[in-house]
Amino acid sequence: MMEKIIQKGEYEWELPIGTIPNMRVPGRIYLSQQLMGTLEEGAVTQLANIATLPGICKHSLAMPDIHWGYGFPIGGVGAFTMDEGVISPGGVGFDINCGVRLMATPLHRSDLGQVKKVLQELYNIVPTGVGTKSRITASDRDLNRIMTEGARWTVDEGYGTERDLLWCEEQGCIEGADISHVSQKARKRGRPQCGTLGSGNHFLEIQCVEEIFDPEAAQAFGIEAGQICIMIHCGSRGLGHQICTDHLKILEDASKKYQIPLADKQLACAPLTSPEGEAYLSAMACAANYAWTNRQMIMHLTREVFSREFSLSAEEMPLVYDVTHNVAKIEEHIVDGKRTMLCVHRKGATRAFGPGTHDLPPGCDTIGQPVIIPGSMGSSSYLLKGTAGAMEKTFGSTCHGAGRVLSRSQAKKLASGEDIRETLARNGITVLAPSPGSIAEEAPNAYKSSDEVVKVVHEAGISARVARLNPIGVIKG
Amino acid sequence: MPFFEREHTADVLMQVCGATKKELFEDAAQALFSVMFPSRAKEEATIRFTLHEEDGEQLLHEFLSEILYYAEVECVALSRAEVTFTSSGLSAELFGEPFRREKHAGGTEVKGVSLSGMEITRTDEGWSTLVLFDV
Repeated sequence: MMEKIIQKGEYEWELPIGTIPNMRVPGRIYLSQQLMGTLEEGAVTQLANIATLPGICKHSLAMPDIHWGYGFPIGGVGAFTMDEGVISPGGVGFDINCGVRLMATPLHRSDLGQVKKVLQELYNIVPTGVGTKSRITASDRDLNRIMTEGARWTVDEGYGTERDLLWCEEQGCIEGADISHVSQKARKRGRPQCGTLGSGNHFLEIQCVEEIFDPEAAQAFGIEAGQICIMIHCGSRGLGHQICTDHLKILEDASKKYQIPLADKQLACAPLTSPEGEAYLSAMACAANYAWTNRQMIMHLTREVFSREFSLSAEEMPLVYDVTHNVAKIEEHIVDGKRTMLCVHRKGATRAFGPGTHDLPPGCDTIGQPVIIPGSMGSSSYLLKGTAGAMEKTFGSTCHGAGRVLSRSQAKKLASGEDIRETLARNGITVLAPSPGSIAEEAPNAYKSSDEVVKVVHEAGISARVARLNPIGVIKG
Repeated sequence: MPFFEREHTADVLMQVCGATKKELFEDAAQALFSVMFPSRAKEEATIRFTLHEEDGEQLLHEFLSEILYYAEVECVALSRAEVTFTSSGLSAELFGEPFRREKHAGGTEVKGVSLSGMEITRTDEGWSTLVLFDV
């Protein structure tokens, strides 16, 4: 398998048709020579599997944070034509619209005082970890609006500003959400969890802008060196997990009905034009909209803490941007010179629309979309911008993070949570978490270097560096 | 060994074995509990449910997914499952205690049970399958 990979450019590699049987298109991998050593055979097989699905357009794609997942690899992108293509929950994941948002503050490091105090305040107010519930329980009527209107609901309820919506991918709401495809089980899980962080790799970080690479874009995004920002990483919680589970079963049956051979059962799918495919897409939109509401609610709680501690208004703490990195969306792209509607699956990959595309925030028409790339705990996160290169090569997509190299159990064997907490503290990073184990699982050396991953997407031209942020306080889910 | 963890980069991959299919299902549940609840819960509360599904893997997938649902909405830390196969599927009884952060925190939230690699096969010792938990 690995020996079949052909280098096509300094940062581009191809997995030719025929690597596994029934590939319809080649795979394309964005990696540096240095990161080739991290490429796993399981992830490459999963990239090849995407290429066997009906209606796949041009290439199955892997971003440099690629690693072994299920269905699609993490860091996988697949675009499918609307007439012949399919939609698969294996290209989205259980945590529908897991994503990241970045909020700016006017504060600098010296204004913050004791990081631990602010962090503790945030930890007290943002429900974190397994078994936590939101401060509000959404009524059935609220939940209907959350699923169909997304972040708009939070603004109407006083949990955000109109401006927040403009600086959010899709303005915090995918169209086409249909609540009739959401089960009572999903609703029951969703009602008490809107405004909770969850666990695993989810986090809330206090970060400091360390370096500006692109002053013009940084200014357009409202970012300057030395500034304190907050990064929030979470998704659609139990509601999204249940929607994926419910529709996986429907789509597994649909794959048989439509006689779609599957290289991996998690790639269960249905034609985009089929009732089963449409049902999943509209239910997935409900979960995506819930996730944007969830992140907005957590940002609102964060603003409450900063208002109290530093007398700041919401307007002084603007949303820099919010991106999803687990979703399938209907988008227009240029394919062989023609405008073509495609269903773009991004699983552990981020949209990175370039200048002149639609859905860019105000004043960003000539700059491109802000892209947020969280680093691993203790390493740098990046603010990037989308590029014309991404539109040409990757259906407007880039990486989503550093990408794991060690399993959670391997990470736990290497160092204890307490040791990691102490090491990070020596580097000026305070960590709060429900248990030391959850820190150990997310140890910095369990991930690829975010610097190297970002270098690849920058050099390959599928996004461009704007700013680098370093963590100073971390709340682990 | 009813189950053991195999290497997987992003998620938790379990190899589950059982002398009978009943044991295989119960051991798969045990594997799930070991990820979610590091300290063993007392058997003070019971949850019962039935499933109607013929296919072996689909039934196992639905059984484990149902456990995730009940653990979350009933807010219980679980420690044991008992399975009885019926003519149309299975009936299950789960044992545990109310989830308390001070005792049960520190586990890993399982987002879902993947179908990837799940294949129930006959072995010399009984039955075996891989189960991949998205965490």
